[in-house]
Amino acid sequence: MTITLQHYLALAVMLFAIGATGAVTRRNVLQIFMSIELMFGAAGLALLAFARWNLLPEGQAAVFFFIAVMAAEAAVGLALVVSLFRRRRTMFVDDMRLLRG
Amino acid sequence: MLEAILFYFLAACAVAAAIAAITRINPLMSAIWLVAALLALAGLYATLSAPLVAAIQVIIAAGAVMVLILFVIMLTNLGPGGRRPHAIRFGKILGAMAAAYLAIVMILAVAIPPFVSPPESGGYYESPLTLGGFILGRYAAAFELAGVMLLVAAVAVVSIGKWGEVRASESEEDAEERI
Repeated sequence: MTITLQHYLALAVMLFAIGATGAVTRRNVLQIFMSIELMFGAAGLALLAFARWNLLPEGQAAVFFFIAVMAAEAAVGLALVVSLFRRRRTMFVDDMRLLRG
Repeated sequence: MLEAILFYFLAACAVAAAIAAITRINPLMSAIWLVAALLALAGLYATLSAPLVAAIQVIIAAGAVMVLILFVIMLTNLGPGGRRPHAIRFGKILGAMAAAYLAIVMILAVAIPPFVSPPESGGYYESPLTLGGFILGRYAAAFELAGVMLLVAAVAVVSIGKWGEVRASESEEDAEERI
């Protein structure tokens, strides 16, 4: 009943897969955004698990910077969402056809 | 034993909340479930003897970013009419199958020996002092760069906000033509 590195990696993969599923199946921009945040968290979990098993505190520092990047990404992404909503009055990616050929 | 129970409990919470978060139609319920998933993730970070990172995860990811998302949900509230499910059933099933395939392949890829419990850290690894020493010592330049990045992000957000405002002041048809 010992918890091994593989337990944590399997959990991180599962959470990442759930986030990826949400990102490709949802149509609401905000829900896609939240799925991406879930994927961020899962990647951080894998990084911390490797750091713990190798006893490298640098891994913790990496996750710290990771969370800083996530905060900046969230701020810019949500500003883009609000801006798109103002222009298009919609939150659904189906209605955004600007780059469709 | 205790850590095994804690791990399985938090893992079950995280997976269940994550599945609930991506299957809700209402983005508000989705956000609330995502907060639960991120809190369970923070608990898992704490079980990996990284208490400071767990606290930062609670404050920033589950706190600040989720509050921002809730604000955006309130700002862009479309009402009951705008809440159409709007997803193709076939595509959903296909996406879930692709993700399950990805998960199985990757779990098989990492399921190689040795299966060992974590090494003894002796108090050095989990101490916030160690992490602080790394962030403000060896990686001080990266820390400052992260600060600059957040500043640039703040300026970009203000700029993007103004850009949307100018467009909104034009007539609706005009904005339609532009896109």
